[in-house]
Amino acid sequence: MLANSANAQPRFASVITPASTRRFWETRAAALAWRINLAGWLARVAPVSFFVATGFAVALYALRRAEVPLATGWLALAVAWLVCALGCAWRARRGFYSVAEARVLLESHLRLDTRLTAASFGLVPWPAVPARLPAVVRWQLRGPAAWFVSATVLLVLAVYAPVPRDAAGSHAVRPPPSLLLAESMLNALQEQKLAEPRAIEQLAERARELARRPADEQYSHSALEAADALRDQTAAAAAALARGLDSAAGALRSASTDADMKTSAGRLAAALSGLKEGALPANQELLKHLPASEAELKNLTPDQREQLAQSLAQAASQAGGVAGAAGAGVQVAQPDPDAKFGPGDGAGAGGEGGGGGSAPLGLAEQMSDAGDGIAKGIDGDALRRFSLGDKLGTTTGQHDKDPAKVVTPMSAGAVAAPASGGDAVWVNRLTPSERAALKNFFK
Amino acid sequence: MSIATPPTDVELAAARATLDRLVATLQTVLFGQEELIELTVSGVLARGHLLLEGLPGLGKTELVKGLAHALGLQARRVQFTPDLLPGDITGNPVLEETPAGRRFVFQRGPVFANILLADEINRASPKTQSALLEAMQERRVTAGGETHVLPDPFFVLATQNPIDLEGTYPLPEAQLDRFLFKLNVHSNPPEVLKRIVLQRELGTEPVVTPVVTRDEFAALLVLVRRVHLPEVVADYIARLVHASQPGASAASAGVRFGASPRAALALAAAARARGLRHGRPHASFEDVQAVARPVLGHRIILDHAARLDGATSLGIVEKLLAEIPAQAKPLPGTLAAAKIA
Repeated sequence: MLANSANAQPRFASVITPASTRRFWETRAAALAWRINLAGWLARVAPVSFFVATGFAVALYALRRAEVPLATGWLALAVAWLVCALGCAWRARRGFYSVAEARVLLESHLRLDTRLTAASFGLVPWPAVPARLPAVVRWQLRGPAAWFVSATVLLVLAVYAPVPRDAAGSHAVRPPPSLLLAESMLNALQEQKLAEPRAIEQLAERARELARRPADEQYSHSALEAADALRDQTAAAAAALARGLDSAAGALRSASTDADMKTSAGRLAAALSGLKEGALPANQELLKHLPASEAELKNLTPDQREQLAQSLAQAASQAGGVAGAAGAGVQVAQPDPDAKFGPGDGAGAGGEGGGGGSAPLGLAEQMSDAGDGIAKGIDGDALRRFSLGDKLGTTTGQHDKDPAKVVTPMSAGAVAAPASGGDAVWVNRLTPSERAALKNFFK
Repeated sequence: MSIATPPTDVELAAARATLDRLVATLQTVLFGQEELIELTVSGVLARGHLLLEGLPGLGKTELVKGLAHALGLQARRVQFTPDLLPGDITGNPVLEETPAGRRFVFQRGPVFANILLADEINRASPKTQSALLEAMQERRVTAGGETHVLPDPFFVLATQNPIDLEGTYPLPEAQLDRFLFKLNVHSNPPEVLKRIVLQRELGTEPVVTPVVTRDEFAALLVLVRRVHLPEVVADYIARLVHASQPGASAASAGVRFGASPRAALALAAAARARGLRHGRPHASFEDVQAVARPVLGHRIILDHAARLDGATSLGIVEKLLAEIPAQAKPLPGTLAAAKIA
């Protein structure tokens, strides 16, 4: 115990031995060398870091625009910076100080008469440890700090700067509405499994072919025509399918009141024939469940016929809904989960001059804005009868009708051909005061 | 280059004591010129020839005479005049009548001494000045086809006045380069003048007794050569001398001819001597900086434009010392040398 106390005594006494003096100066020289070398490396790595960060800021922003996760980008940035840091250390190694060189700097700065170097050769004893060793060098970090701050700002901007909406998804042009509608109808038909999948696939392939067109051709005249035709054809086929299913349901229901069931069987056979041979044939699996002959019809109990009729009616309603959507001009597909749902007025009326109601779902996130301008009506009722070309004198005002255009329903039922463009109607309607004026003029 | 055994502590202490005595004695001869005396002693220790420049009456001659007396060496004084001939310095062969017949015998001139005091050296003709070249550089004289070795040690301590230059011959650069130091003797401040007035009398020379024996002085000259010159200090000397060349540094702007390799050797020798004077077994950066002005000042030749701009060689040396750091490697831009209060 006493020995321990005696040994502990020197630990608290400030004994300065030649070895400790040497250690003091060597430690200071090594620390100075390390500091200078760190500063030299910093001077090189700071601008390089800025340029690396600039490149990666652009890359990270591009990744955000492409909606790619940034984890890989951060990892690449870290690896690139590490490589650059090592490269800078390699390049800066010529300027690195050894301990001996730092010792020279130390002794020349402190004006020690080259005693540290001489002491390292054993010529003289190491100088006494000063009470306070003044700093030999001081940091000048404005330059590196500016580089690093700039690099950080660039990276932060790359991560948090808002990405334009049109760039968030892709730069691909949104397909024409007709095509979208056709695709959504086909998707709906596919989910309902009422029609033969092969037939749906044929139509879907056509839709995909249209969608694959180059962006600058998506809205060409031919593409729009093709998209419209596909939409109309799909809607017509769906409507035909709905009618066939509805006819089959009607036939099944009529069998309950038909004594010999011949008439009902005939109607059912006609309906099944239509379902098989229509533009959009009914699903074979569905047809297998339907009675194909009078005998099979008779085998069914009234309840079974009624149940089957209800199922067919429901299927007809679903197919009709798909076709009706085309007339209403609404999307049938599931809406965008990000879209905002508005109240809407209900579905369109369908049929001739279909539409009429506003879309129940606003699929776009932002409604179109007509602007905050002041809308002012033009004075004079007569102006309503002039088109803008008449007003400007560039047209004659004569109605340009397309004689080849036949405005008739494309098929019977609830769906009619939608209104076509270019059919502005010249309304020759005179107000009472105008009529009076004309009468006076021609008197 | 083999490193000689550095002086031991005992040798250093003895040398310092001897030199302290010498300096103290010289300070009784010349008042208020401590730095000049220190440099003079260092120059002599480095076996260099010294050129003292200053106005008349400042004690240049007294210092040189006092040094000669204090060292106990043989000293001769020559007052240089325009009609002085080379033979008057080096000696002449004279016809001597001997029993064996007549023969020419070389009559040694005043240069055959340990210390030659060349007073107002710039008043002699270039021919006479150049007669000293061989003596100063090779410490020997050739006359009449015979070479005569000068006594060891041999120093030339010359003086010149910076005024009354009419009829004088400025020393050529080649000869200036032979002088280790060119020391400027400045006028004295009032307190020093008062001391001179009180302790001196006109026409009476101070009595100087030898304080260093010939053997002691010879030992000192040997000891100086054993003073270690660290490689980093040698590197500093080399960079300093190189930077004095035209275009080699920013400080050398206006320099026509920089310092020669002989100047580098002179710097090293003078730094060693100063290190010994301070009792160190090695030369230091501070030693080099202390002797750089008298060593380089007369070796750097300025061009006319720089002279017209008022630049001086000593000003160039100051700039060199400020520009060339002891550590050759520059600090990175992110660090700056801290100022020591």
